[in-house]
Amino acid sequence: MKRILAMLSLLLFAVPGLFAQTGVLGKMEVEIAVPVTATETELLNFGRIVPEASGGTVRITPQGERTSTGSITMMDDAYSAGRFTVAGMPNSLVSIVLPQMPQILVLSSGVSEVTVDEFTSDVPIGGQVVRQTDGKAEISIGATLYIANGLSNPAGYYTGTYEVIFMYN
Amino acid sequence: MKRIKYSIMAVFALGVVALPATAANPTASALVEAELVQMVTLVKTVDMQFGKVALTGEGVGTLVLGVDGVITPTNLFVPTTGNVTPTAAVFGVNGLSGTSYTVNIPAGSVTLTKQGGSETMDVSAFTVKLDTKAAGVTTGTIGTDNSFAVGATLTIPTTQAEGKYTGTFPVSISYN
Repeated sequence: MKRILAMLSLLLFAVPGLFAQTGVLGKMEVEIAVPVTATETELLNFGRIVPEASGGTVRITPQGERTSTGSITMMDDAYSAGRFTVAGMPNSLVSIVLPQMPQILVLSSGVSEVTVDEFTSDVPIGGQVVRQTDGKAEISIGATLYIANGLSNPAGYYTGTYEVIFMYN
Repeated sequence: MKRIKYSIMAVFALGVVALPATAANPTASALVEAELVQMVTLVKTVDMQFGKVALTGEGVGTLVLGVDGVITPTNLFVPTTGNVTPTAAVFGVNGLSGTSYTVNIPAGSVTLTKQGGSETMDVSAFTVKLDTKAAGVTTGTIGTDNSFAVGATLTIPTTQAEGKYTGTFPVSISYN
């Protein structure tokens, strides 16, 4: 039997290419770069405010300047724009998506609310450049606080959250 | 035993005799002999390169690399600086002109592995384009289709670790 098998292989060799196949391996490569990450380094803080008779608005710009309208008295106290440190690919551009709806701050006792709206940032059109040197960039956020009168918005500590999205441009 | 052995020998003899018989003259019979030694070879000439991308955080990333080397990213950021140009893989086919062949590319997915790591990603949806054929046509002829390009789609899960990933994929040709 073994001898017959040997003869068979000889036959196949002698009539080549009835249906042949040849193959190679192709190489593939991709580099996955770091995604954008962000860390809040400073709270968006409107500071201490006295609404008085009719309330009003308090605006903080991304540059950290605070102004008011209406019957608001702003105490000389700590306030700040929201600040974030963004990390990503060096030399990339990062854009930001800000809240498009009013965000609610709730009194610590939970019975009163104020709203924050008109979020703005210092991200230029086209995006914030991530530094070549350390792969980071700072982004600041401002917004406007709406307060009713002192009766509707009693004294206390109001807090809330807002969501921002950082992404590569 | 003996009977089987004889019948095989007969086929063998017929095969050898039949080859020159197809030729009309002595010159042609020399050509037939050349055909017997002619090899069809397949070589890789260009590697598949997806380039550099980053997840935007909007969801699973997909990077379609066309047979023309054009990438279509979804949920991915493609940096313009410090990147490499994406390229489809290119393979060369050599052999006797007029030989028909069919390209076989992976039907499923192939794995890329992170260099210096164990993380993996899948490449799937391989596509092929022969020189003179429409994309997707897998059968060509040596002489008119002496090379073909291969593209594919890379899927990048949202939690994929950064780094350089490499892998291989098998390509073969069948021919008559």
